[in-house]
Amino acid sequence: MKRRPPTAVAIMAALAVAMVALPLVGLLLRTPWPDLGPVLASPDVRQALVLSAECSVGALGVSVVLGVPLAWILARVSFPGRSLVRALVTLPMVLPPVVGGVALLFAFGRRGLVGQYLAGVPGFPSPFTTGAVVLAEAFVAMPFLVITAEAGLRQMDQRFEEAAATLGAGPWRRFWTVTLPLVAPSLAAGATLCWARALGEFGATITFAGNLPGRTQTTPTAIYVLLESNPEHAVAVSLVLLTVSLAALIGLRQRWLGAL
Amino acid sequence: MNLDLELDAERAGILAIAGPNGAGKTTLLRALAGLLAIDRGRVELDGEVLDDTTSGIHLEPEVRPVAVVFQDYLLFPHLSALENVAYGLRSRGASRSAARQEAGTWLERVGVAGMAAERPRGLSGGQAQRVALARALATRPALLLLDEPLAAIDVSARAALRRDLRTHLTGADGVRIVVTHDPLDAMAMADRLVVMESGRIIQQGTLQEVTARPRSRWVAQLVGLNLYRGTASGNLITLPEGHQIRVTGETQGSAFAVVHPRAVSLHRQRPEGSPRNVWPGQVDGIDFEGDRVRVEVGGPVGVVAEVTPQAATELRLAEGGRVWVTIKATEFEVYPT
Repeated sequence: MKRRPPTAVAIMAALAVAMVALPLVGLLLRTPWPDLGPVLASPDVRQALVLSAECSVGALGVSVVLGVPLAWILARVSFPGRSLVRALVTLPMVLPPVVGGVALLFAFGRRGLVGQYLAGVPGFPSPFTTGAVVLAEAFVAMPFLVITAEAGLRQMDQRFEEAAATLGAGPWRRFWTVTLPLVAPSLAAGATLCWARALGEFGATITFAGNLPGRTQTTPTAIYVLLESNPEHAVAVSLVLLTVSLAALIGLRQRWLGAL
Repeated sequence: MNLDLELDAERAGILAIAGPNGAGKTTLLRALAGLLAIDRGRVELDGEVLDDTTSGIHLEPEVRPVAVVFQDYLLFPHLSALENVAYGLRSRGASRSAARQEAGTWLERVGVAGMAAERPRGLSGGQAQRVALARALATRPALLLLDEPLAAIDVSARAALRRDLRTHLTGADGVRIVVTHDPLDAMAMADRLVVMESGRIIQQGTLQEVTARPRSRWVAQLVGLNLYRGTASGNLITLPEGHQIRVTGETQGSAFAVVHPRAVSLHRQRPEGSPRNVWPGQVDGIDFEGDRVRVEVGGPVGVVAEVTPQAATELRLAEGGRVWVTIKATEFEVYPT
């Protein structure tokens, strides 16, 4: 039976769609299509795109290496304060990114909580370094991976792990050959969300890592700067991120709409 | 769930652990597999200690020579049937090709060689069960545990699979234990039977020994007898709720009384006559089984009666209807608990 929505409801819904669609349509209409190639190939823009790609992948790597073990513990091990830890790890999802950036600055800066001891160490993510970009992006994006991975691990039928144990598989082998394959879809969805979030981060990166071309100027911050000097170029570069976001969304499809 | 028992199982013959749901059979099985820690006690297999709470020994499942066929089979969904069977072999160090080859042989042995490349979701219930069995047998376990192996099978396919399973189990080495709540499974596969109830072993022995003197509702159901438990004083047995059955004999103290449904008579009105046991009841259920009719009579003393179809018609038996039950005292067999 086809349901005819009440007029008021239909109007509100249409406005909601318009609110999201119009700016994006405007972006597409404003794109300087003939200049797209040269703009994206120009050294500044290329530098920002490459840095964004490297740092977002780096942030994903950090998130996977640290986040998956955390997700495993949250899902499988009962310990006092577990809900507190879960809440803490989810905090960056709701925290204003710029606040995250400020917090990172005062923890990892030269006189910071951690920074005062480790500032000289090579590779340490001091403020305004490329490492700081990776850290800032990981800070805001890791929760997405942890939450999705934990949900996947909880939903999984643990009896498969029991069956594997009775067949002679020890804990590591069980994890690699049974657990991981069974939660792979959730992990993939979580990783995609995590990476997309890292790629788009602005507030935390600009506060903690700054905006130094070639070193800490990622694509979002480059767009921000371009808006002042050359708005048309800003639109061109925005199109790149818009396309990437759409691709990520299409990649997630049912997965995302179901899992979240 | 509290378990309190002592169990011995031989390599010779198949042991069936039977009993109603909730008896603790699966808990016992999980403890034997090492999936559950025991609070107090000892588990020994072929002289190797698997569990010993006094010396703190608990061998993890992966190092026990124990394999399990689970009720839901638990075939790894992301692996093919062949890879499932090869899993145990790979876990124990076999090379990929050697494991796959041996797995193929096992699949042939259980009769599902053609499904080797299929994922579990493409298998029928019977095929999945056989793959699960092959997967367990492939590790050549010293102890093979089967948890309700036919529970997930269609009723129509069960008889054939039961026979197949018995054949495969008979051909296997090691101790074989089948856990089941289904009397038919026990009858078909058990060389020895252990009957559990509420975490304890009520009876054990050969099928014949166990069914000769039922000591539990489950066994009574298996042999189709009515079972009562009460306190006997010669000709009278007093049941827990105070009702009394008249019997013959001189048993004293805690006792069981069994009577065959055929020995139970039903009447529309309170009858006169010699039977010493007369009581009213209502018809809770009627089952037509060919040339017999089983009637479940509820009331102060529940009983199952067996009458002919003609008798059922004459008595105008219907669910919910009232009947009178008579049983001669001589029809009861009484024995101490």
